[in-house]
Amino acid sequence: MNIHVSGKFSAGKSGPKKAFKSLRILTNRMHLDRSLACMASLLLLSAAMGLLLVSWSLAYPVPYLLYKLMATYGAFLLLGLVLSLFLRPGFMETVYAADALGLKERVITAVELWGDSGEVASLQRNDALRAVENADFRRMYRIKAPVRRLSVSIALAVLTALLFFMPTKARDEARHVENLKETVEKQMGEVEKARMEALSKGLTPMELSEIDKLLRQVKEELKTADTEEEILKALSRAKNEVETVREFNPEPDAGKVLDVLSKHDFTRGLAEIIKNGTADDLKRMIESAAGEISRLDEEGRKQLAEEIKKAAEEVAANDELAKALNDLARALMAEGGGSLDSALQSLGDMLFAMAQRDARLAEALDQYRKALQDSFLRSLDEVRRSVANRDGGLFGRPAGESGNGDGDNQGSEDGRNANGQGGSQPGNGQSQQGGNGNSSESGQDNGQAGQSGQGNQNGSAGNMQNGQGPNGNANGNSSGNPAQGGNQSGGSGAGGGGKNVRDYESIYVPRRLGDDENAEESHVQGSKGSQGSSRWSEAEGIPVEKGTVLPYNEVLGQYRDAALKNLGDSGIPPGMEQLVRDYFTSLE
Amino acid sequence: METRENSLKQENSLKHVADTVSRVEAEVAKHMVGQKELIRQVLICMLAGGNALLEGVPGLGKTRLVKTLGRVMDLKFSRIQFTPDLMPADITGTNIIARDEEGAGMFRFQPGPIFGNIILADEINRATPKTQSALLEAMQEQTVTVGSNTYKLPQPFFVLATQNPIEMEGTYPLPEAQLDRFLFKLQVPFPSLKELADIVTMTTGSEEETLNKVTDAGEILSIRETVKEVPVATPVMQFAMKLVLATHAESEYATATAKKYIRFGSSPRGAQALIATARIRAILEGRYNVAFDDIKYVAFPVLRHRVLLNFEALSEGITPDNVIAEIIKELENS
Repeated sequence: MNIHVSGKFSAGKSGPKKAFKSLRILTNRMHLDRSLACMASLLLLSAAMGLLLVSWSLAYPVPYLLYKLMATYGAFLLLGLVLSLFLRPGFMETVYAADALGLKERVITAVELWGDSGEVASLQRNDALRAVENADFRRMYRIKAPVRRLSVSIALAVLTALLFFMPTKARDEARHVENLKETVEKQMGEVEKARMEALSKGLTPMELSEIDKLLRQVKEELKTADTEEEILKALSRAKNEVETVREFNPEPDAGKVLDVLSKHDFTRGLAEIIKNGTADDLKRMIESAAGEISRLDEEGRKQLAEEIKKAAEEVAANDELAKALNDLARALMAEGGGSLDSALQSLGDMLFAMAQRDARLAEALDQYRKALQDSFLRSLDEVRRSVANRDGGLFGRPAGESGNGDGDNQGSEDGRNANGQGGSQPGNGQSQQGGNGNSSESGQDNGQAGQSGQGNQNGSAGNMQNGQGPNGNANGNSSGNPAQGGNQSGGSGAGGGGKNVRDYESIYVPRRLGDDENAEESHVQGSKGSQGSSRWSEAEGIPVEKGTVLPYNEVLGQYRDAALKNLGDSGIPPGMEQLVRDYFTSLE
Repeated sequence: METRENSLKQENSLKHVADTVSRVEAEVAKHMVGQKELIRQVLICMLAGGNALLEGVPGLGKTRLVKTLGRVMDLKFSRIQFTPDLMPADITGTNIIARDEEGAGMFRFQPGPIFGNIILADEINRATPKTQSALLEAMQEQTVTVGSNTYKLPQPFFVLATQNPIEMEGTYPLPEAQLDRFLFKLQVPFPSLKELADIVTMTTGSEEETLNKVTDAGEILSIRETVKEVPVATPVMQFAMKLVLATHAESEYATATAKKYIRFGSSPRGAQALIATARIRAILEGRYNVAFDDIKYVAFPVLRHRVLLNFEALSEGITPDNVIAEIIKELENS
């Protein structure tokens, strides 16, 4: 019953609370009851969430599903524990509960009449106190286990467990992503190790912080990356960041100082010795400098002192060095020059020590960079390998593995182009270029690329392209460049044993004559085909159609190989690499 | 010391109330078989200083109950049988011409049967409204005005009216104003098999229990004052007030049932009656404070004649008790 209390009693008064201390038993039981109910509700909620998560993971990859499930349950239970702390009933709530349990509004009336000294009020108060003392709240207030909610929670948890073990493609993908992340994690550990090594070798935390700042974001991205694409992107970014780190080059202290010293006549020699000389050289230089100074007149010493002071101002950031230079300047100005030797010696020692420290620092930084770079590159490689393995070698098949029966002069790229169709490449020599031998430079360009290759019908250079062996073992002796080789032999694919190739629509492919990429471009006219004719000629200032026309299945291999090669060489994000692969897969 | 003595005295007096009521109930039970709840409710009504309307078919012992109460409580009992030709003066009394000692004629007030402590207005709905209204002043003000003179009625003064709910031919239903003056409307239930057998045995046998006087008018007046001090906690008071307001369909506290079935709700007299009678019920239950249960207990006799149901309720066979029970339930759940 929700009835507002607006009586004389204020719950802040401690009197009734003390007097009705027996109500604490009821308060505790109510608290326990509410906490149990709250926990059961949250358990039910977490079970429902877990079931949703597992159901989702059946269709979409969810890496570390078990941990996520445990985290869901744990988070809700923790929330339940925290919430239950706030569920302790207040005094007035307990009072109402006690009255509702059979004390018949004795307690609330007594609490309201607490300040009343009337006879009926005190009678009523005593009656209420007696009733509370005699009440057996343990019996009156039964703690009810939230059986229904617990049962539903258990049922949901069992269902979740069943679904958890159900194998699906999304699960496989999730496991794959987990492996990727573990790889990344391992590499991150190595980066940290390298960092610690660098730290121990002399890089100060301040110097490392610059690098760390660059890497922190990468680490975060790697940690939060959930999908394969995100991981690959993160790794790619990591690689770029490592490049940035490679360029990070904190200017050494000694370097700065030496630059300053090199500006002034007197100190220039000193700077040279510090850069390239030994301690003995430095000592000799200082002695020599001391001798030279002693021979200077007053004006010369003053001028030198001014120069040294200027140098001190320029290196003011380095207190010790500035002080040493100022000491030297003062010694120069001082009469007698007694302290000059010691000032010079002190400056020299300091600069030498700085140079040595910078050398150590540079070495440490180099090692750190190397470790970082190696680490990320290893990661990236592993991930790529992993992706390639998972994709079933669609694109990652090693060059020349199948059908690579081209001649010994065939370029290495040909092997990759073949890609299971090698048999068709040597073919029967019905090269489009050489099919009829009508080329105007026929015979003259033998030994160049296949442009001059003559079909066996022509006979003039026919043996160059004759398809000989079964299964594409052409054994041709063409010395054309790899790319050309593929095209030249890409006739109708009649070579015995080769994979059947459909008739594809011919597409235009720009070509150049010869191996040299600066060679003349080919010019094609008329329709092409195994029986068609072609003619080319050189001409200047005439609009021409450049390139040649080939069946697109032959060109596809070339394009695909070129694209894959570029993928490895250029800075295309790994995530995008998959898009390129998918594109060519769809074309096939 | 004095406070403690006062406290003890007060405690004794409060306990004495419960004790007195118990003794009255026990004594009445000698002459009344069953009807324990009815007896208790009549006593509550009497101790609260109100009038009760007893509704039940003839022969249920209504008259016997009132007569027995009069004897046990040592109160002057009057019975008025209401008929259509009964005149107000037949109830209140009238001025008659009399001779004084010197033989001179003069008007002298001859008190009617209303001048008693317990008045049994039997079959009150058989009298005309004019005659019924003769009771209004007596029931509310506890005075009677005849001519230009107003006479105080003896204290305590209770009207216990009866009416037959089934024989409506030639009756004059009580107007709302008159009904509102009854603190309780009590329904006299038909006895059970065993009770009926006991009634027959008791009334047809040769032996008759002798009734003892358990209390008197002075004590009853004292009890009335004592029970007024029983405290009511704010939530309980608010519940009672909300209950009364909930019977008004246009009130913000009106429940769905009230809005659906009630034409007119209880008057403020209903709220007064709830608290006054709940206090006595609390004492009779051995408590020094009013509980929600007390309010719920007295809600039915207090409100059942104060809520006027609409045609929908009547056509659906809904009784005021059904409506009150629903309203209580709805208030508890709100």
